[in-house]
Amino acid sequence: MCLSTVYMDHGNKHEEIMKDVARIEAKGRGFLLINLFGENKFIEGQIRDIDLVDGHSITLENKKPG
Amino acid sequence: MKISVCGKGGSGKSTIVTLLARAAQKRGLTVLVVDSDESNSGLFRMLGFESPPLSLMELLGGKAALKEKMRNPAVLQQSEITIREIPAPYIQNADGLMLVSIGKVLQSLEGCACPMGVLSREFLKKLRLNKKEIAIVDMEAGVEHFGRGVDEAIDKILIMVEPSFESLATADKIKSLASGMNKKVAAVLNKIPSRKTTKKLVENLKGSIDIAGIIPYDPLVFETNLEGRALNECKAFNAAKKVMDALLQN
Repeated sequence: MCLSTVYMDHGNKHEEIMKDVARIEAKGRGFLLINLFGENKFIEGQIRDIDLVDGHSITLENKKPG
Repeated sequence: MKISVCGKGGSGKSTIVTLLARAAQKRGLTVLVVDSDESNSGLFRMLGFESPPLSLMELLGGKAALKEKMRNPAVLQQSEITIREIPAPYIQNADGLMLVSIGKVLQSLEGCACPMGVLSREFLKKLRLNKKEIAIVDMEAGVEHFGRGVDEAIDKILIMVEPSFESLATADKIKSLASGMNKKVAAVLNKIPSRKTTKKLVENLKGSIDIAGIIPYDPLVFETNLEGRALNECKAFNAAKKVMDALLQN
C-alpha cells in the first residue's frame, strides 16, 4: 500500500508514530506527518530508511547533532 | 452484520449485492450498501438510484486535497460512524436501502487507488450498526483488498463463483486469504444453467468452502444489466432471498 507507516527507531525499540501517512513535509529539525484523514503530527528526527516495497515504512531516528 | 461480496471480475458481485440488499430490505432491515469497487460505476443503477452519491473520497477533498493539506471531515475522524451521521450528499437513500461509494478512478495517470483502500478499510472499521441494520460491501474484483486489509471488519465473506475455471481458482485463493484473517467464508454459485453444472462446481470446491446458495442463470438479470435498469423481482432474486435468510439465521 502506497500510504506509509512512519516509525521512530529508538535503538532498542521501534515505535509506530503514524499509520496511513499520505504526506510528509520537512519542517526545521523534523517532519510534519499528515494522514489520509487530515490528522497532523510533528516529529523531530532524520530519515533513516524508506521501504516502498515491503510494508511501506519510513523509519526515522533522532540523532543529536555533533 | 457486515458482509462483503468478492470474487473474480464479472462473477456477479454487484448483481448479488443488489439482490441481497433488496432481500434484506424485504426482511425489514435498514441496508447500507458500500460500493468499494473503484472501477465499476453502475451499482447505483442496479439499486434503482438515478445518480450515485458523492464519494467518501470527495468528502476527504479528493486526491487533489492529498497534495495540499487535506480536509478534516469530522465524521471520518470519529472513532465510530453510524449510518445517520453520513452527510446527505454522500449517501443515497430509498426506503431504508442506502448506498455509499468509497471512490472511483476518474482520470488516466491519476496514480494508484491505495487511498481508496485505506478509506474503505477505515470506514468499515468505524461503521457501527445496530441489530436492525446490515452493511453489504461490493468489493473490487480479485484479491488485492485482502492485501490492503479492507476485510478486517467484515463478519462474513461471500465468494461469488460462476461456472469457470478462473472463478474457481479465485475462490480458492480468496478462501485461503480469508482464512488467514480468521474470517468466515461461504460461496454463492452464480449464473448456474443446470444441476449438472452445480454438481461439477460442488465437486470442484471439494467441500472446502460452504455453499451459501445457488443463483440460477436468469435471462432477466442479463437483460436488465444490459439496459442499466434497476434489478427487481426475478428468478435470481428468489434464490438470493434464501441466501439472505440463511445469513440472518447464522
